[in-house]
Amino acid sequence: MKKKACFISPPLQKGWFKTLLLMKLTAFIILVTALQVSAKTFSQDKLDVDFKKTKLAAALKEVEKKTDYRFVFSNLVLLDKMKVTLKAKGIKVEDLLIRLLDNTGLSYSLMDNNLVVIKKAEETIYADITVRGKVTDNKGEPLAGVSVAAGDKSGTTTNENGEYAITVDENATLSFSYVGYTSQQVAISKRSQINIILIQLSNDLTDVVVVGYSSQVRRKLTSAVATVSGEELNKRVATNPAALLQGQLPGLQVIQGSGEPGNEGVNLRIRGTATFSGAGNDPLIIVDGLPGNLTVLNPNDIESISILKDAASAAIYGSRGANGVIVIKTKKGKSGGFSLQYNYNIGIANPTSLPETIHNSAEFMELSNEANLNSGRQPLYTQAQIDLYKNATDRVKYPNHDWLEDLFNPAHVQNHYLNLSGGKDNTNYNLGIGYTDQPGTMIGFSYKKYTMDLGLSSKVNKRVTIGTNVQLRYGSRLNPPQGAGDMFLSTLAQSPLYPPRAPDGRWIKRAYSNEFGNKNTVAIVGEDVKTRTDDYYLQGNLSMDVEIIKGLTWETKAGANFGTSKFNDFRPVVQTYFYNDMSSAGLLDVGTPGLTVGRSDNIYTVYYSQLNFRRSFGDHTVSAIGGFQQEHNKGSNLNAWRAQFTTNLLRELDAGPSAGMTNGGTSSEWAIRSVYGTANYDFQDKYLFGTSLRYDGTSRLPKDTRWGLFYSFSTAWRISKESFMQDVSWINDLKIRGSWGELGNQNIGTYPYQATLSNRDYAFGGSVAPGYSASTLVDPELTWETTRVFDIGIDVTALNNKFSFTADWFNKYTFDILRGSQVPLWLGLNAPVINDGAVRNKGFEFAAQYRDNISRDFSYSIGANFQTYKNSLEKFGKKEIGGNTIREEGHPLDEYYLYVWDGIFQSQAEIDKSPKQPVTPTPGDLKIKDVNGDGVVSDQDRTYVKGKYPSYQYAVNLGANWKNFDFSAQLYGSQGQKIYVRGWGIEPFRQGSVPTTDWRNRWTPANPSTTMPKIYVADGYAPVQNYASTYFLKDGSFMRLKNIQLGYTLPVKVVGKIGARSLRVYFAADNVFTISKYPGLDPERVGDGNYVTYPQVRTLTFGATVQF
Amino acid sequence: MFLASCKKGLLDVSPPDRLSTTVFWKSEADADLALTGLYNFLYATGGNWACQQYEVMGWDNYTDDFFGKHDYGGGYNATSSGITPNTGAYVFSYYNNNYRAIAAINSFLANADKVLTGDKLTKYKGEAYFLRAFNYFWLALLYGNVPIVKEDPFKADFKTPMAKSTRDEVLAFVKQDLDAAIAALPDDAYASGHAVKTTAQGYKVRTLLFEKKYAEAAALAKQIIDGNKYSLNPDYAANFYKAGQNASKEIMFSVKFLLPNIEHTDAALNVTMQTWGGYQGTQNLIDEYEPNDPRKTMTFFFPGDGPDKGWPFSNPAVATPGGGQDWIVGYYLPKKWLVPGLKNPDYGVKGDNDYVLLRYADIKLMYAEAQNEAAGPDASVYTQINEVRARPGVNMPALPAGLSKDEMRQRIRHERRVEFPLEGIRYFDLRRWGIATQKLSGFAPNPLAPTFKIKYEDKYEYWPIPQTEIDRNAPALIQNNGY
Repeated sequence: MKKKACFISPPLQKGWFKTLLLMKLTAFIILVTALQVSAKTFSQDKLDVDFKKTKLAAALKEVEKKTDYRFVFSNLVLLDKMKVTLKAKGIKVEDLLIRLLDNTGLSYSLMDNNLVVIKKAEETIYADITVRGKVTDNKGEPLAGVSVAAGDKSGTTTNENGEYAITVDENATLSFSYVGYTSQQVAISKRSQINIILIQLSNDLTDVVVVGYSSQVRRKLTSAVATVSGEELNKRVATNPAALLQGQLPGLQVIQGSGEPGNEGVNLRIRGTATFSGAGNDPLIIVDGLPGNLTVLNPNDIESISILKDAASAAIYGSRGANGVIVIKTKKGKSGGFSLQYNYNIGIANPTSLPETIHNSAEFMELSNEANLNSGRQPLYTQAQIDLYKNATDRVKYPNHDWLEDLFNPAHVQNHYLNLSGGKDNTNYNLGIGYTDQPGTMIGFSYKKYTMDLGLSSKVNKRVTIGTNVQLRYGSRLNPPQGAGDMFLSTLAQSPLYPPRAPDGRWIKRAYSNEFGNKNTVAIVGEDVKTRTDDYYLQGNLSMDVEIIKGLTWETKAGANFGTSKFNDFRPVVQTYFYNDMSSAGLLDVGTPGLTVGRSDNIYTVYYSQLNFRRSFGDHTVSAIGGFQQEHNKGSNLNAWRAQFTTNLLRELDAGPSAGMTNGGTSSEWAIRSVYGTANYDFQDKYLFGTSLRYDGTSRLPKDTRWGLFYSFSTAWRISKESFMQDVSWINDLKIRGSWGELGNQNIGTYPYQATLSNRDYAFGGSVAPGYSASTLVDPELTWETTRVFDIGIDVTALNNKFSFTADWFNKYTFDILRGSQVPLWLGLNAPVINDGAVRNKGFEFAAQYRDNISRDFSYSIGANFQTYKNSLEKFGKKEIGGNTIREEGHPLDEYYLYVWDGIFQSQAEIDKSPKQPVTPTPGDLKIKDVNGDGVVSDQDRTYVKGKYPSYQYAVNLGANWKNFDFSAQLYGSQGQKIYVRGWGIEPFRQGSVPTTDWRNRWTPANPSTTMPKIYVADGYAPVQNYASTYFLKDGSFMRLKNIQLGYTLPVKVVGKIGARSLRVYFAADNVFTISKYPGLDPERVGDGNYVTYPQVRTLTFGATVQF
Repeated sequence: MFLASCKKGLLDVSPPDRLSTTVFWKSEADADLALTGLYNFLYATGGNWACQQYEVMGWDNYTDDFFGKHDYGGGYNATSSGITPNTGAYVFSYYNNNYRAIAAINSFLANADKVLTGDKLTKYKGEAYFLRAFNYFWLALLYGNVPIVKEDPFKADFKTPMAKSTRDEVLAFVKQDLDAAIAALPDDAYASGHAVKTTAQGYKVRTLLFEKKYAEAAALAKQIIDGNKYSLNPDYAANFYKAGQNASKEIMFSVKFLLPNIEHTDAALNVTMQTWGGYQGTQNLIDEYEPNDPRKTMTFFFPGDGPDKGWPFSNPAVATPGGGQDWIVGYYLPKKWLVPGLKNPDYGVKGDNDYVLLRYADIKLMYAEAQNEAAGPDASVYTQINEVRARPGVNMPALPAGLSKDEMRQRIRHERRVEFPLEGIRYFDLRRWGIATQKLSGFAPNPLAPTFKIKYEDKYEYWPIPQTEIDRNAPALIQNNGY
């Protein structure tokens, strides 16, 4: 049985693509089955060969020369036309034979005295024989319970060691099938021993799933867990791994807030928004078993990601599991030699979409005058001025400047990644080193990221394994201090009448002093007005696993996350000028001139120690975990400021004036202590039960209420294992499961129950006196926010394991929400944090996948996932109306609550006969609906408007391999959400900002538009701006081709020449196109508010992966 | 077994940078800290763009005197769209912040006798009573009918909805607190920032005038005048700049600032008022000035003013409407509150002008008004108004003798309008005189843009209580009429 190792082709690295994997293994299976195994074994000797269309006989002769083996064959068998082409270094004799005889219909037998007989594989004599063998996966792990059948005549299953024995007709065909793996048919061809390697069906149905504090075989899962492999994730190219999760995992909503390098603002929500409390909706992130940070990782270092969606899977995380858990496993080394992989790619990024603006100066000036007149203001430009621009021949002096072209440039993003891994003598290692250089598409932004990932494990002796995982990141970010939104809106708030800089190099503020505007953003970047942030982050752990007795292990892990960050924010003094006469226009608006520097650090330590037990007793399998965990976090910060420097050249504190300098700093800490456990039981792998519980104590809550118990129960029934299902051959596996449990959330403030004094100084008589007052009520009985999840799911694999389907329905109810109490204003105190309020999310999600090989050269897969949920605020107290949303029981949380826009007033007569508007409109202004019909439009006419949450989201993933080519694509969409946006870029002349070309269709007496009002100056134009109406609510639904990728793996014989094991080149495009009604910009964004945000980027990437 | 090994106290953490309330009110020094804390509420924000609610000029944007380009104080919004229970800025902030101050004061009053005795206790409580009256007076001025809360907020039953009291009841409570303050506070001139007896008396004059109790108001104003603690500043403008404020014998109460640590929360006044055009005077106000009234040029820039007239900007080199500084043609850019000598004021220039809440000139004019209403235009009325007009540097001629009571009333109203622009007085005067609707409704602030008219309704005499408060006190708390 030791032979199995010899059959394994060179270990396949994660960086390989599925195409290649399948082809290789397919070929390999044929080899295995064509092979007759004798009792003898080949030596481990290695040799170098280089055959080019060499006759097989000649090739074997060559081998004879280099080894002690002698070949015996008949010329009848070995035809002259059989030619081989093969180049290999250090190949074992046996492997060489396998390759040489591939596709020849020949097999070999090793006899005594190193004699090898080459003969035809087929036999003509039929007899019953007993075939034995072992079934393993492609990692060499034995597979138990694989069904082995010869037609419908006889069948068996493999035992715990993956072994089987079956007596059949010697010319029969055996079929091997197993859940999650592609079936294999093998002709026995008189062989008495047939070893089989089964290939995993797909990554979504991987055998082992990483869950809380352990891993589980997927078929034994009783909870709702979705997984994705690092390989699948890295089909897209992105620097932030969180962004890569989009569309991969049903139940997880991923919104990338912006395209800003190093500050993508990725928003992750598992099954909806469950709470309105400060405790938040962010899922818990677990890296290699301990709470950590996803963003710091290099995507290439990720082995797999699981999301734990229901109570059954997340309850083991107790007080931190309420928003679901994302469990990340980083790469580990694998035994079997050394492997080196290097990836490089370069991408060209551009904004996906930008608004089209009117930057013809004369047209802009005319529109500006019209807007100012419409808004009861004086026009800014005289006809003579307009004519200057209209008739100009000197376009330097009288330009039509498009400022957006200054703001955005194509950015070249580069990634380098080097991976070394291997293992020897019970020690495995993996080292990943990454470097990312990511300039922004918006000027002034850039990010550089260096990452290192080290995984090491060593089996010290038969019972003890120790290991470590360490991730390091150094990130260096540059950004204009007022941020991307400000840069964007300030750029829009420039008229086309002037360039950023005069030909002589002076910075321009405006063309004329009476123009409105904002800061010159090109000058901001040109003068290096940037915040420099350097952050260093380390997360690492040490682990020790001890096998006490068979089935009982003791596992201990200790980790620390240390982060420190520093920033330097210098605001220089910069002169600006008016372009018309180059007179002084005062200082560039950089905020308050001076320097702010800051430092912050955070250290988080954690350890757990647990016992794992797993044992089978006949039909009964039991597994259990019990453990203890302790976490402690302490953070601190320092900052300092000095006012305007006498020079812009020096940018450190000591170079600034000491008069009026300020500083600040503080620290805070929290801790959690827990015991936890899980237990699973199954009967015949058919009826499965699970339970888990956790008892947590947190420093954030008062002594008497700080301990909370969280638990879950789950069960599953594998119907396909029932006898009545055995005849349903098209179903390979069918499981239904259900779970229920309670989870907690305590992530609110650090000291929410402790009453403290606020500092309240006052400037008495020439000096500042210290003062204090108590201003906050506290609730001494504060406790957890609790989430109760009920989940029903079904898992199906069918059609010879080619089709898989998983669906879940859930009901997630969050109650005792930690929130500010609704104290009356007359009380005059800050509201205490209390437990009150409830939110329910009910939803449904599914994923389906079909994959098949049409021929040896062509395979494909198609997958789709879908999610939808309904959110409802079930208990809140008195309703609260925000600027454009409402919190009221029975409605979705923060549902839009707006005046209803009802067209455009066409005439004074229409205004007079319409319900009285809250402002005094004139023709061309918005008409607002009198919802309650009382003849007057007032606060009472605001109403609920749907669209706060998407109706549904979906993704379609396609993959195909043809020969050495591989292709994948992802389509991603989100339907039904709306976005409330205002200001620069969507409203005209906000701070003088350029209107979009849409405004050419505005209402005028000559163009009685019913969809656009007359043009106005959006600086408090009451008839449009003074109330929140549906006019500002835009359809944010979209469908986009998120990613396509085409790869080509060079033939082994080509790359072998450079000594490489493989080389793949690829082209990928991200955010290829988007279908949406959202105006101008990209619809994918987080939240309402200012229209402009750092745009999403479309990236075209070329890359290569080479492996040695 | 694991739990036993844990060290105790891991979960017992407390804030390392804030004092626990449990250690407070243990020593006499705590009373000083707490009293200072009460004055800090004068820095409350709430007028949009981080401006402070006692940045009194914000009020002038609610009137026919000024136009606020960036909605400071919420004046632009209130005058263009009207006031509703959901309006923000001052309409919400005064209600919210004044009750916050009141809560701190009530807590102070409930604890002060734990650590203080004798005269010190009396004086400290006197200041607290004054501040409580000050806050309730604002509530009475704006909302009229509001709940009266007197007890320690940490012991209040806040779960029971509270009903409102009538404006008369609120005003009675204001006077009760003011009387307590007057009895307890030292009879000094205002100087350090701490309220003194005359400060409380001055606010009582305001209260009585608001109640139209003219004889009482006149008598009390006379008492302040006869007390000789104050005099008109011979330099009118010096009242508004830090350099002269501490020495001014005219200021009776103010919000004190001190650079570098305590500055205006928004950008300095010279940035908000001049550079950003946050407060622009109307032609209507300019027309109100008598010819040659120097207060006009002390308050405003006029086209063509150069550096010699205090114009601080180098571009344009002389004052030019529409020429930068967000100056809208048809309005006037203010000079008042702009520290003389500044050049091209911008972000980097910090400001710490005190916001003046009560001036002696106001006491004199309030006396004149009250006495005229109570007894007619007698000699004492002439004396007080003429002294304000004749201040050095202003030197306006005395009023002609023989004015009727009604003529005198118009003269006093005129005088108040030109004496106090940008001091947050006009809005309350118009309401007190009952002519707010007449003056403001339909008023076009910019004669060059006559279609833009402002909104004022009779019901604004009682502002709406914020909707949040109505919702949280339903059904006991009833909204004011008309909203």
